[in-house]
Amino acid sequence: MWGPLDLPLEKDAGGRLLSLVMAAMVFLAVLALAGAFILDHSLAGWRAGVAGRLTVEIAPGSAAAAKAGDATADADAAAAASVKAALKLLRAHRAVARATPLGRRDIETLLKPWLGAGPLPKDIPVPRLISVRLKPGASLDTAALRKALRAKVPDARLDDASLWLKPLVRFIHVAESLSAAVVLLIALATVMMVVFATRAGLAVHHEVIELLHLMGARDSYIARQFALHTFKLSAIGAVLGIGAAAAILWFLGRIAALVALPVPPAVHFSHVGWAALAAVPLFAVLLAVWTARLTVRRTLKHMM
Amino acid sequence: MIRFENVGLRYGLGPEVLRDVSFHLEPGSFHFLTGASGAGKTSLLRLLYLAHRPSRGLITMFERNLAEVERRELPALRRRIGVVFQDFRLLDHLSAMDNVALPLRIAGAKKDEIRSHVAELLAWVGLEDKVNARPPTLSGGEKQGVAIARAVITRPKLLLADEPTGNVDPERALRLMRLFLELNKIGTTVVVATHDRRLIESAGKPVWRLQAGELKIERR
Repeated sequence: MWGPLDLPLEKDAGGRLLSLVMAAMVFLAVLALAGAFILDHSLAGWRAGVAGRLTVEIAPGSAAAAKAGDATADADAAAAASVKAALKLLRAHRAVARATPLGRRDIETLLKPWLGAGPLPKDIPVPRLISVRLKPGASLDTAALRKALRAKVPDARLDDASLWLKPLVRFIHVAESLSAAVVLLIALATVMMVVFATRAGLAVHHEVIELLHLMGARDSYIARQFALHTFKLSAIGAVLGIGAAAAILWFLGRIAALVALPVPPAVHFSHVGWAALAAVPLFAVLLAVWTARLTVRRTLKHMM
Repeated sequence: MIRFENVGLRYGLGPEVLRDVSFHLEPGSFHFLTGASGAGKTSLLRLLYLAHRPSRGLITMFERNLAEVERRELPALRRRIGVVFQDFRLLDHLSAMDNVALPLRIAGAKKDEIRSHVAELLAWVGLEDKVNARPPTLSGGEKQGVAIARAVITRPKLLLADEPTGNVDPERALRLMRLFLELNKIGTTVVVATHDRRLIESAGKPVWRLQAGELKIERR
C-alpha cells in the first residue's frame, strides 16, 4: 500500500506490541460501551413496559370474603368477591382507563418459568391479579389509591412497578458511569502507550532523524513518518480488537436467545449504538496517530 | 556566499575545538580542508552543514546571519547544501534508488521527476545497474557513489565531503575527484576534507589547514 518509510520503523520490536495492545484496548472499550448500551436499552424497555400500568394483587383466601359473611364459601369464591369489589373501586377512579382481571390461564402463564407448564393443582393457593391501565397523561396519587383500596379490600396490594424500578435505574446509571470511566481510562492508556512507543522510536532512530534534518526535512516530515507507521500498526490492532469484540457480542446474543433470559434482555443496539461501537476503532486509531505526531513534534523542537 | 568571522565552537562545557576561525568562501570556489585527526575538520564541516551553531563568532550563509536564523528556517538553508559523509550514512533498508531520492522526496518533488533524476545521477556515478541494490550488498566504492549521488541530486550550491577517499582505492579516489571537479565547473562550491596528500596535489586547489582548532589558509 505504501513504499518503505525513510525511517526503518518497521523493524522495531515494539511495533507488533503496539498492534496487540491496541487490539486489547479496542476490544475492552467496545465491550464496555456495548455493556452500557445493553443496560440503557434494557432500562428503556422496562420503563416502556411499566409506564401507565399498575397491578393489584389479591391474596388467596381473602379476608374480604369472610367479612362478607360467607363462611362456607371456598377460597375461590372469596377471592372472586374481593376482585369484584376492587374492580368496582378502580373503574370508578378518574385516572384509570381500564382495569382487567387476569384469568387463571394468564396467571399460569406468568408462573410458568417457576412452576412449569400445564394447569396448576387446585390446592395451590394462587393470588388474583388485576391489570390496571392508566389514562395517558393522567396523574395518579398512588398512596391515596392504595389507601382507598385497603379500606374496601383489606388483602389487596397495589403494586406500582416504578417503586422496584427506581433502585434498578440508580444501579444502571452507576454501571453506565463506570463504563464511561473505563472507556476514558482505556483512551488514556492508549495515549500513554503511543507516547512511550514513539519516544522509544525517536531515541532508537535519532541518527537517521538527524540525517533527514540535515537533508532539509522539516519536523512535520518526520512526524508524518511516525504517524503513518502508527496508523498502520494501530489500524491492524483496531481491526483485530473490533473483530474479537463483535464475535463476543454475537456469542452473548446467541446465548441470551437460547436461554430466553427475561433479565437482561437480548443483545440489541440501535443504529446510533452500532455507529458508536463502529466509531471506537476509528477513534482509537485517530487518537494514536494524533498522539504520535504530537509527541514527535514536541520532542524534535529540542533538536538543532 | 559563506563567511566565518572569529568563529569558535565547543561541545557542552568542554574545550574549544575550533578557535577564531575566519574565512570567506566565494561562490564556485573549491577548497581542500586538511589537518591531523582531531584538528577539528569534522567540527568545521558540521558548522558548515548546519548541524551545530557556533559557540561564538559570526557565520553568514547565503546572505543570512546564522544568529538571526530561526529553527524553522533551517530546512530551507540545508536544502542548498549537499553532504558526503565519511561513513556514507546510507539507509540500509532502502534501495540505492530510494537513498538517492531521499533529498528530493523531502523537498516534495514529484515521483516522475524523482525517478528520472535518480536514474540520471546513478548513471553519472556508474551505478546504473545497482538501482535496486541495498547498501549492505554494495562495495565501499559503490556506497560512496550512492552517497555522492544523494548529495548532489538537489543541485546544491555548496557540496561538502568528509574524507571521501578514506575507504576507496587510489583509482576510485581519482575518479571521485574528477566528479567533484565536474560539479565545481558547473558552479557548485566544493569543500573536501581529506588527509590524502596525493589527492590535494593532483587537483591544485587552495588548501585550508586546521591545527589544534585554528585555521591556516595556504595559497596555491
